[in-house]
Amino acid sequence: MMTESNIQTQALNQLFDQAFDERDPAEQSPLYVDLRSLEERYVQAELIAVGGMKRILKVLDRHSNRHVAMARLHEDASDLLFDPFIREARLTALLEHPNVISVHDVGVDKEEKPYFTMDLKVGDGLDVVLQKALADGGYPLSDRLDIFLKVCDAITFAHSRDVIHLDLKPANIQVGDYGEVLVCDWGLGKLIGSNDEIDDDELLNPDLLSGMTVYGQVKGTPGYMAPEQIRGEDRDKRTDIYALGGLLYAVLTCRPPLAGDTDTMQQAALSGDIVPPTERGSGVPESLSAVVMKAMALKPADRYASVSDLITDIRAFLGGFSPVAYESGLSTEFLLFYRRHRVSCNLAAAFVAMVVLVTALFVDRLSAKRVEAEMLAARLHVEKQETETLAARLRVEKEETETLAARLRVEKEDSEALLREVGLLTTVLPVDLVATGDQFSHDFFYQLPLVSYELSMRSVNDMIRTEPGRADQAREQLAYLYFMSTEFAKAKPHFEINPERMRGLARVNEALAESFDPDKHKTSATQLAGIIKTLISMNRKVQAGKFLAYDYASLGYREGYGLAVTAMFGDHAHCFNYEAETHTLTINGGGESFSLQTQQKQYPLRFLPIKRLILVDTVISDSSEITDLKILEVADLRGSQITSMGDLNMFPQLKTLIVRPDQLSQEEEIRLRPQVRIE
Amino acid sequence: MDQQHKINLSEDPWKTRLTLIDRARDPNDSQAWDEFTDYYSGFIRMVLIKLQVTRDDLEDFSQDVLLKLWQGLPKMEMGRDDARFRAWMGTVIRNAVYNHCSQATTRKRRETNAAVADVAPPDIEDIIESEWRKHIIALVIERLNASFSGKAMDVFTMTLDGKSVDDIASAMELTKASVYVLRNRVRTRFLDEAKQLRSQLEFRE
Repeated sequence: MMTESNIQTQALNQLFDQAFDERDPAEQSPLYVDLRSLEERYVQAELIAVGGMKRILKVLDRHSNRHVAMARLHEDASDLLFDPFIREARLTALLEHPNVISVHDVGVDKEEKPYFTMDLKVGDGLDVVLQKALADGGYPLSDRLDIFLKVCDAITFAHSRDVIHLDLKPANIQVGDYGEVLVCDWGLGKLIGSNDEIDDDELLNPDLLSGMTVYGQVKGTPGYMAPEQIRGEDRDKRTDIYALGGLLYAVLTCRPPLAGDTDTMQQAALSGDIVPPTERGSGVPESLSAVVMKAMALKPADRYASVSDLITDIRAFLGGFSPVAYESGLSTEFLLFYRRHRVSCNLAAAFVAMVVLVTALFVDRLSAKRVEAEMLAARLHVEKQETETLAARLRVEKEETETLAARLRVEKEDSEALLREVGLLTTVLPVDLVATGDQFSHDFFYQLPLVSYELSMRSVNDMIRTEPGRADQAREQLAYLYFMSTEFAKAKPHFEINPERMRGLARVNEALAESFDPDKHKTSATQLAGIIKTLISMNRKVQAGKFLAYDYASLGYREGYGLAVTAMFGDHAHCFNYEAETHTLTINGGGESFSLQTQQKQYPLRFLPIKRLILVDTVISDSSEITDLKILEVADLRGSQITSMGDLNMFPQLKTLIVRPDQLSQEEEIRLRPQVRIE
Repeated sequence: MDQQHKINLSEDPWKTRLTLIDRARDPNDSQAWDEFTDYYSGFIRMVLIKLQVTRDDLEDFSQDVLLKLWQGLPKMEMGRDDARFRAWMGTVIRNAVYNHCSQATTRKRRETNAAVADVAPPDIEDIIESEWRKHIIALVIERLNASFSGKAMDVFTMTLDGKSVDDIASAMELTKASVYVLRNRVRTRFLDEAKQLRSQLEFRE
């Protein structure tokens, strides 16, 4: 709140007392008081232009406190010009349009002279603008056309009010710095069909307008003045259209439509001798040139019927269409279309290009796919054929397998028969036998090694299970069995049960266990021969025989088997030579005496397919030595002491017998001859 | 602020309806009594204090005076100037004071049996005049405070204190033009409000 002081209280009391007093408006509204007291409205006059009939002054309007332009007649102007002057003012005032200069005040001054005020023009006249454009390239065509269109707007509006300008020219158009365009100087304008106009003749009266020539002005300006106006005939809106054509001419070329002295220009205008704008300035669009020529046609009837038609054509050009006045070809229309829709056209073109590209890529990809597919089909065809071949081969193999199976069945039956034969024996096997490691007779083992092996394995396992007391013996057997089936690794621990007894064999087994893995390789004939040689050298002939028999039963004859078999003969092995290709066995005894049978009466040679037998320098005297050679076809007995072949049924395949001339007895020869060839 | 203030003025209810005094004459307008009390009680109280009425008696006394004024209002003739209004108000108050004092004196005499000087009250009209001014000015200032910014009020106060425009401008960091505008605005408003309140409360037509 206010802190009260004496002065304050006094002041407040004073205000209290003044509450009902009349208030001085000046205190509240100094401007009002100021305005009320003004005696002279326009001050600070400053001459800025001199025209044919009038002067233009820049004055300060003290009422609105701004600068305005004031038009006054020349000092020495006749009183008869008062009315035309006022008429111009009122005519202009009639046209309230953004592109028509505004008249603010029309009046009579203290000296009884008429005046009117209007917008103070800013910027330059269009004539100056065009000169600048010509000089330094300012104001591009599009800007100039914008100015022109605004002039057209103003004239359209004036025409709608039945006012025609009749003095359109660049100098009468004011262009502001911000795109403002004002059409000025409506001094020659007239209201169509009104009676209050003054006859032009009167205006042109040299007595009246003594200053006219002095000021260098004629009514209208050649180049913008239509022929009918020059001739003083009827003027109408199309007269303005002619002027607009001239204006457009100037806007396009930055030069007036006509050049030369007044008479020449008037003559040219009257004869319609207008040089087309395209020939006057470079870069003038032909279509707009056509618009100019149509607007400036000699006969009013040939011109645009209205300003709006003219505007339409200009806008058509600006919008990228061809004006009516310009009879354009298809290519022009296309070019214009492209210019109008530049972005869309570019986009469309890009899109089409893309579609073409993508399609091309697609087609390319497609054909590549087709080639691929064809290649695939061809490969499939080949594969199908291969498959068929394979199938055929499989069929053959299957048949072979069946044959094999049939043979196996037969063998199985044989085995079973044999087993039945020995079945009894097995069951009554004395326990002592087991201890020796020979559960079965050697014959039996040689005959059926796999079966014997299996039975032995079973009984040994049974023994381990049922008679723990004899487990060591059983495991010793197990060691032998595993050794025989080349499962050296398995055999190894069992050999360690009784290292003393089986020292040699255990060592062999250990060496083999390290170097040989039966799961990965089958025993080769060479390896077999090695093992047998080792066993024979250790004098383990029984073992060697069983080993060979088991090997033959499980793996069968294979290349180099001859060496393995002949190894069985120990020191005499070198006497044997087996040629696998010809199935020929040559025994060169070297005069030494040895049996083809083992001590266990086993006959290792039966593991070889011997078709030819050649005995050289042997002491073999009994054919029983060779009775197990079931497929023998040729026997050369010349190096032997054999004199009788015995039962020929033992040699079902025998065809040729080669003997010394006196080797066989007469009876024997007679007996053999019908069945074999004797050489 | 300024704009609002103008709107308030134009919408002032007192412009479009009967003055409070007019309404006080209408026995059916019950709200008028409340408003009357609001506007006058403070003033009457101040006058009575100036007249050295004891604080104990103040409440009864002011009620008494208010009631008498209220009852007297309908009998007032229209078209009187403010001097007459205050004269009438002075008469009412003086009579009330005298009555009260004589009653009290009689009582005191009775009780104390002592001679009591016939205390002549101070110039009651002057007191009423000065208190009425204060009352109205306070009301106006209250209204101004409600509608003007602190800055405008400060300028106004400084003007009242007789400070020059230059001083105010530099003190308030304002242009001289702004100081003029603010000062005139508040001053004009002061006059408007004072005129309005006085028209309402002083039986002015």
